Amino acid sequence: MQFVKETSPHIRRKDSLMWMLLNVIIALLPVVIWAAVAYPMPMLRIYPLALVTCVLCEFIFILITKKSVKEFKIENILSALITGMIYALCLPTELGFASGTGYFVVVAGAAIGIILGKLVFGGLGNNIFNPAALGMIVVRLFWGGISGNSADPSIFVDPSISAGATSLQTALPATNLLDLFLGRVPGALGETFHIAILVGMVYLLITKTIDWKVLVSYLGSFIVLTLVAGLILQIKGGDNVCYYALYQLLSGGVLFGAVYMITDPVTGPVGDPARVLFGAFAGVITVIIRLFAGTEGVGFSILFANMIAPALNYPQWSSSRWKKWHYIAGGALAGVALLAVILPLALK
Amino acid sequence: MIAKTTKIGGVDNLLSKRPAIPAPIPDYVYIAVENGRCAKADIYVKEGDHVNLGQMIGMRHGPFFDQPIHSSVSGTMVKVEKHYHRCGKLVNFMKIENDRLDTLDPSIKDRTPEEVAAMTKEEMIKIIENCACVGLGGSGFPTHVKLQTKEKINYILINGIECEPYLDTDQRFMLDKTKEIFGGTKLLMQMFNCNDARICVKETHPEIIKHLNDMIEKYYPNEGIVVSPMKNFYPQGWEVAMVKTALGIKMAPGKIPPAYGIMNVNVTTAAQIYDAIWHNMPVYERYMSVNGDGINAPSNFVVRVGTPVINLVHLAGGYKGDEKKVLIFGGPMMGTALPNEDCIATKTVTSLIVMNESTKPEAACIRCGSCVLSCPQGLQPVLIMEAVKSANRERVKMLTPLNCMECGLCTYSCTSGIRVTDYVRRAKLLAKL
Repeated sequence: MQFVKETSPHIRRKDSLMWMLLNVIIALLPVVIWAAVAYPMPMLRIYPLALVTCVLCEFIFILITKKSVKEFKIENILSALITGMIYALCLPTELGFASGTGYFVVVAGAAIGIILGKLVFGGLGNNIFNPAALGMIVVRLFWGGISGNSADPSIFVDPSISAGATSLQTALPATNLLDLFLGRVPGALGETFHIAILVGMVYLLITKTIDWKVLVSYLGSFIVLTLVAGLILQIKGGDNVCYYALYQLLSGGVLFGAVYMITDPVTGPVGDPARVLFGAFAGVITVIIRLFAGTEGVGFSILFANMIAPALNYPQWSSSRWKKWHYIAGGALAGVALLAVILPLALK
Repeated sequence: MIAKTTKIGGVDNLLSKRPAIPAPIPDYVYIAVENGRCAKADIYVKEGDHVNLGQMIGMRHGPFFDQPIHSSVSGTMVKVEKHYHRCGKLVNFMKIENDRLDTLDPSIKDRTPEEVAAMTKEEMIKIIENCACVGLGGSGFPTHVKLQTKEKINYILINGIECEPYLDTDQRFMLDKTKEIFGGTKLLMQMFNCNDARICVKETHPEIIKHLNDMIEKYYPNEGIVVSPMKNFYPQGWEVAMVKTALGIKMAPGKIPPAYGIMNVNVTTAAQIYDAIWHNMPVYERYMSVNGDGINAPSNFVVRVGTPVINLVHLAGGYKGDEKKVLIFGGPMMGTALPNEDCIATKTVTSLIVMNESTKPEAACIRCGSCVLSCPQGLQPVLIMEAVKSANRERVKMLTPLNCMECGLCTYSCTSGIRVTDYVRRAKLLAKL
């Protein structure tokens, strides 16, 4: 009989990283299937390309850093697949595929996203930025013009603020909320199918793959701020406040980003207070970008929040329990956010 | 999975439902000369000498106390050999051949109730010191040192919680040795002139709570002893968690219970105090769980101190399966793994847990934060690990790793199977530099 000398503890919880990553993939499947049914041709063009690019980049990275194919473990494949899956679902349905540039754009976005967002920091578990969000932002900034030629009018741009309309408009386009909810509006490949996203969210919450605190604080701060903005706009003769807030929530990639991107634990802080502040910060940034930059803010807000995550966990003040500074920081964030939203809208 | 661990799942503690089996007393017992706390010792007997049960056969010298060594059988001293001790080190053991007569040493004599009633605290502590009473819950801390506190004690907590999985000795002990436990509790109350003692038992053991309540009603009504039901989570048996549940007092990190007027001892230690004061009897046998997923017939045994572990493994039906085994003295969360079978059950060994080697592979940390959620001290193990990896002592110190009591929940909860507790141990060393 052989004996193992090891340090305590000697038993482990029955879960694994592999299952956690698999759960994310399972939770993405409803959206992927819905997108494949709704947009078969764009899915066929974009999806395999994005997935292969991400996995290939990860593989080459492992070959370079670890110098052994054996180090390319199942976790690496799964995490690269998740990046590719989320990234591709954020892309527009038309990227100029007729001329062939679209294929290049998909590959370039995926490669830049995973390399600059994740691999340069040391790969799985070490990244600062959400690679999918970075890839999406890169495509949008570099090749945003291409999508303008597409058949769908509003790709990256939130329908409510598309076509050059200023964010401070008081009247929303006449779109049915039900159509928004069911995804019967133009938009990115997967971001509009809210039923599928909600199914994925429930699965992720049940399996405890994501921390509900980030999700709730992100959506919560988003909803509160849009309600405030909606209220001011209603007073000034705009749409009903509830309609406005729901419209903001259901348009663009808010729910998709909230469920699949902001909840990525690697790029977020640890500890309850830090996670709540992190989610709230991202929600505030999303609303401010949406209202005043005239563009969709989810991707940028996630990257901005990723940047403050290390600060929230800086050892000198980081704590897993609620401390005074958490309340002060939360109060300051709420104050600044309310001022930033109320003042421009009220003064206009 | 991003979740706080409260219960260590998948283990049913059912051993206490069955009687403890008296383990056959071996032909040779082995009494530790040194131990984890005492590096030096004198031996008072030489090869071939006859020894009695309970006879003082040596003296250990600790950093601030001396501790007599007692024989657990009567027979002949054979020689001094090296075996593994529960602290994980190879130490000297006195090998004593058992003559199977169990002749008691003349020093063991009963005291009358009048004698005991007239005793002062100092006299009792002297007896406890001479009988080498230590924390039998596994700590091995000398009881007389603990009792010498100058603080005013208002509460006495008797810890029968045993929150680790696979451990069930104290539960059975409370059913079998109720008289000794209550006797020890009464002595502690007399010692500190305190009339509020609480016996802490997990609420998942209603049969024990009922048994203890019946006994209190029958023998100790209105004397200030109550049974305090404890919650079923890990680490409820940790003194800070126990004090919080039993009395609602929140202890600050680094403080010990006497600072709050609390004296807490394990149930087996309470019974030991009873034996020492009433019979002048040192510990010569103890209850031990032999359990785990690598053993065929898990059971509770009454084991003579100094029994080789291999005897217990045979008694419990041998090893199950051909996988590599982890032999653990203590619980699977905080216990020490031993390098091989050549180890001896001393009086502070609460259990022998035989586990099959964990097959959870180590993967990259994804900062899921389960360790942070689970840490009962409110530390942030993942940040401590990052600070240790970057060898940044300032950062390590900011994260106060010295508050860690190594409950093991961070490693247990780690989704990626990383030994986080080891990093925290290294952080403690770094922080002490």
